[in-house]
Amino acid sequence: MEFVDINGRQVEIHIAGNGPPLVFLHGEDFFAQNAPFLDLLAKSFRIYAPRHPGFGQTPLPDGFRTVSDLGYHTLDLLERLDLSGVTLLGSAMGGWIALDLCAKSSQRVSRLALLGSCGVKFGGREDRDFADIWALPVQEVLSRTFFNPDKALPDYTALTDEQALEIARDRQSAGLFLWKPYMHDPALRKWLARIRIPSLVLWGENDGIATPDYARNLAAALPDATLRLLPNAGHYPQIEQPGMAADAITQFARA
Amino acid sequence: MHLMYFTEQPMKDYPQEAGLETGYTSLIMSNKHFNPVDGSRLYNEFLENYIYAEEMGVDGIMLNEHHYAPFCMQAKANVFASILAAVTKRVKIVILGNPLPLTDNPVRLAEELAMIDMVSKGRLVSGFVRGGGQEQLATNTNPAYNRERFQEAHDLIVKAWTVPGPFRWEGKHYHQRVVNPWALPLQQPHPRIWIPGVISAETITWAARNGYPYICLNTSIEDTKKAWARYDEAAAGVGYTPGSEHRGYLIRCHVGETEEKALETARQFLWMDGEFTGRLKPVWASPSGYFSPSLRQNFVEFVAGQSASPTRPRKTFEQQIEDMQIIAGTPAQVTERLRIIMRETRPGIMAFWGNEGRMSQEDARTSIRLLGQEVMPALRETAKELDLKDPFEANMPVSRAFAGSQHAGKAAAE
Repeated sequence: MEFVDINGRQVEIHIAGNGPPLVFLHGEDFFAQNAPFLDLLAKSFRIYAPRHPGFGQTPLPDGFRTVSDLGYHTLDLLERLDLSGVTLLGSAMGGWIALDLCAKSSQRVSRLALLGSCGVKFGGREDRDFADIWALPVQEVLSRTFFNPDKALPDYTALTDEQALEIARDRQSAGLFLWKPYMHDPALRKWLARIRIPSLVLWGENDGIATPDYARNLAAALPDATLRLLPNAGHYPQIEQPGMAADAITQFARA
Repeated sequence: MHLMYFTEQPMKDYPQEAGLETGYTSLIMSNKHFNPVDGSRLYNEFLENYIYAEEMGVDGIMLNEHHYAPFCMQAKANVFASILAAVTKRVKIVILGNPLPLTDNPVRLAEELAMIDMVSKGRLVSGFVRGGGQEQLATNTNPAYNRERFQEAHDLIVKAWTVPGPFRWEGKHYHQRVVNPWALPLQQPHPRIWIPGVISAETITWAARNGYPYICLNTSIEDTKKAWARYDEAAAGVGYTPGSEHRGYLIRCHVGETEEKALETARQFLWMDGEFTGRLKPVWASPSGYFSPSLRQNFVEFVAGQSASPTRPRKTFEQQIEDMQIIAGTPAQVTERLRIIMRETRPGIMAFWGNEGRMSQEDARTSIRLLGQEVMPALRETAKELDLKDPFEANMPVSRAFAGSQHAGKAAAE
């Protein structure tokens, strides 16, 4: 891990591999479980995996309150690293940030891949687009999140204090950004038409947080999107099926 | 015929010269002129008068709220409604109404109203309003969203009352991850909803489409008839013919022992009109976005000095007496004039705005007594002759959405 400075904001970032640039925006939880997937991608790409403000060891600067702030912040990061032709991946909450960023400017992004993304609401006011991770019983949240929770979950008893603290910070900041409106920005849907770059909507068939129906709506709302479902995978398909997910991304980036 | 007593709860005991100096007795006249010692006495006088009105035979107590203004001391109608739920026994508690757009949490409102309904053993009538233009400034609620917020809050409250929770709400203005209040109205399917108003065509049409009674607030007979025509047209559009039970009317009305005394006291009705101190700037009454563009055009002309007030043309006291927008006199005189209004506009609900400005407590109570003992019994006879029924007598459904549901509740609590 290293830190980069963006206009005085310190950002923890994992950089590895060689090849065309790929930026991975993580979701609200289970950051460490992305490692096998990122290791696979590092064989074909130069990967950049920043921690969002308030997550991991990245400080939360004053005034950061919305995912739109995270969108601008991540645009700053692309400029600071002077990346262009980026393949941008967003998982869960990271998908929302990626959508927000690309709606603002996809100048430095050539391809967008969304994995179990949230951020846009398609249902009516009495429909729930995303299962409520803060209201449902923990066991139900986990069974909706993973195809096989027992296999995917870390051994929380074996964590170091520092690792446990990072997870606690992740969950705290997820609440800050996702609480209300829940997991979406009511204004974002109308700006999806601005995201004219090729997009891949890569979804776990067993995603019970944002279902494959949601993925179909998202793919249909983006100007140039392809939908691909991965079997035996939930809300974080890249954690449960790192090989299939990495292959899908590599194919998509080269097509 | 449902007959109600109403007062704006005027905070009359502020230094008059302060109002003259500021020029506007609302929104920005400093509350350093509000004396809580007077406020405490006045609240208790209002409360005594409500209880007295029940003793004198009124069917309902009408409540409302305004913000940052001496013309109305009620900053939260639900507070007085709660008190009345406990200290009165028979009268309907008619809130006209809770300003829905001003709330950021309609479910809290649904809970409060359900509590009032249960404590009062099913005597709540829960009116809703958009809130005046000035209220949008006082609470800093964007007036451009006023109607959207009104409708969304209404939909959410009715659902919270009638559909078992838990459910979720992710609307345009309101986001509730869990709606599941453990306070539900006693009245089934929910308390009656009456909608008061002055001029807004959209609100009249909305009330008619929902089948909610509409209460004209002290409009002229001519304007009242126009409102009913609009209401009837909208009702016909959705397939029903409204009756007197859909019509309410609020009238400033003061009854005295002699005509001379009644007329003298009734001049206090002009207190709120700003006769003595000025009331509010037109721009406060119509902040951008509050009215539809067509109505706003009138305000643009008005502010430019090119037309009279679009909502409440300033009329002299004599003119208002002549036009019957203020009724004052002996019981016999008042009865005669109110009968004209009843014949002309056929309301099933009437509210008497009986205490205003610097009327003395004695005069206010005299009016309540004469109204209750002499005027109202005579009006009830007239209502029978004219077949004017209120929503309770007509046993009408609470709304078109619940047209098949029998209204019930009070018996269940007893």
